Amino acid sequence: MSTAIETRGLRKRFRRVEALRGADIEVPEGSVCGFLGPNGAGKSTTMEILMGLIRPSGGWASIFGSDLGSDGLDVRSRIGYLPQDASFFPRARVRDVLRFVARRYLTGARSAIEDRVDETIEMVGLETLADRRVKALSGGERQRLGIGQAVIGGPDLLILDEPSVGLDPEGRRQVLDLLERFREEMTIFYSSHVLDDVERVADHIVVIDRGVIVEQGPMERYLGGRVTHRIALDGGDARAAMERIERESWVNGVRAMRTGEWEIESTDRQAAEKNLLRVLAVTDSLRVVSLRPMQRSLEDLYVDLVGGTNED
Amino acid sequence: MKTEAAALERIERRDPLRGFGGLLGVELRVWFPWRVLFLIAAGLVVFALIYLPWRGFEVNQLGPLMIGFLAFWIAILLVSSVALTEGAVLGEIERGTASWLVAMPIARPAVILAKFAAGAVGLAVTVFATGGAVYPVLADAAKRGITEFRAEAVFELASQPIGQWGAYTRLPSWGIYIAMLLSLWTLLLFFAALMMLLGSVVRSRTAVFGLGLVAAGVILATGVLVGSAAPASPAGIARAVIDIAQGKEAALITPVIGTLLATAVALALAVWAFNRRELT
Repeated sequence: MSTAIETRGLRKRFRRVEALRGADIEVPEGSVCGFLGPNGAGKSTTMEILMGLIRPSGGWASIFGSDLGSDGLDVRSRIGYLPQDASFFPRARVRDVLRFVARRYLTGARSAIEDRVDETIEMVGLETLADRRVKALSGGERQRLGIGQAVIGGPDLLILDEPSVGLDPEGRRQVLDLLERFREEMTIFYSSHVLDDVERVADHIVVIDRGVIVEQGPMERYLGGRVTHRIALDGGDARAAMERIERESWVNGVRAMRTGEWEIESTDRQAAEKNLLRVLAVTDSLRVVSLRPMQRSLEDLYVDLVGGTNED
Repeated sequence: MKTEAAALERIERRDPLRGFGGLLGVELRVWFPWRVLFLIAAGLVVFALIYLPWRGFEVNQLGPLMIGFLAFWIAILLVSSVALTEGAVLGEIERGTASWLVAMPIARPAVILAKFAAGAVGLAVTVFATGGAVYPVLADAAKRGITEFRAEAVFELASQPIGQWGAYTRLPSWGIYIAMLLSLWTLLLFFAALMMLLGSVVRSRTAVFGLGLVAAGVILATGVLVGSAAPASPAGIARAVIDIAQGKEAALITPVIGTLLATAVALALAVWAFNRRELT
């Protein structure tokens, strides 16, 4: 599979602050890639470098194999971008903003441009607000306009910096629905703090912490095989039983919970389901009160990778 | 997207000024109509405030009237230009509009040049509309001494050969008057370029505004008040305009060429600085 975004040793220093410290990123073409990391980890900085808004202090970045410096205009012709805290022409109307953006990317008959504007307005659900001035839009409405202007040019790559930030649950749902809708047409690279949202939409993740990429790859690699079982035991020596389980090859770790339950993290779901009760059953007078599988969530992975550094 | 693929095509050109036309349209809407109307109204109000006190004099007072009007008008235009353009670049950077624009396939020089071009058009309309509206009153005052303004004087002038208009006491001919307005416009172009440069380099709008006012003050002080400005400088234009108002011979070519060169340098530096500026 070819690469939509590739960076190697990407560094960025703002005076005394090193925002990026050699970030290597690969985002496959056609993927929906969630870009995760705590505040100040370097997500927006990375995106700003990709969009040519700031220059890297070192390393390089390419989009669809093109250099950002020498092919900047060509590359940006293929990208739709929604910056964090996006600001459009505040006195312009929604329709005017979309028309302006469409004309920067596309050429064709005036009626075709207008059709595209109408389609986009309908797609992002701003039909009743098409003639409203941007400054009169709410945060959610402005964000939907932001997504509309990012996709109106029919980009091959969509880069969205925190597209659901500041939105209510309904607004977030609408944004996720839009991303779902675009996934067949373009590569999507978007940053978010809302892990549930990323888990729902993304098929690929990149995790950054303190300017370094700490993990990246297809979502299924991290969440597909692993499973956690939560088990409650009664009578017998539960600790000894857990020590035996921990020695099994398919067990990644065992943890005692405050509730008296035990949490067993397995690397192989099938092996765990086949062997867990068998291993427990050999102990005397030990009774299994409850056993329930718990799918490992993106949040578990995220906490493992970046610990407690997330300020949100 | 449902729009038929054949109906729309992606723009592939590598134009160093790509996006200029679209941005110029946006920027012209910033200037027209209200900003330009405000500037024209400000000029006419200044003229009325200077003209009305002179109406009672029977003697010809055209010289003081023109000097008073032009000195205040230049001051108003310079300060207004500073106030209206101080946020043109930096304001958009602070709001995030600049980064939104240059993330599109828009060449960075187009952003600066479109703002400059729109300002140039807006200021041209301002200068020539105000100057054109004032000229018949000046002509009437020159012909009769300033007693009262009569609209018929406009038609009287129009019915006579332009060459004879200079016969009215110390009234600049149309040619000289237009050259004077063109020179004044050139001075304002320099200011527009200067504000673009300051906005691209400096990181505080207060500083941009302050530096713009200082530059306006220097030009007014050396060009209008003291009259010590170097001929081949923007302040030299102000000086030459005041000289013409006093009925003196004044060479406009040298200050205009000097100012155009300074404008080109300021604009080139503004484009260079904006190209290098990090838009976070």
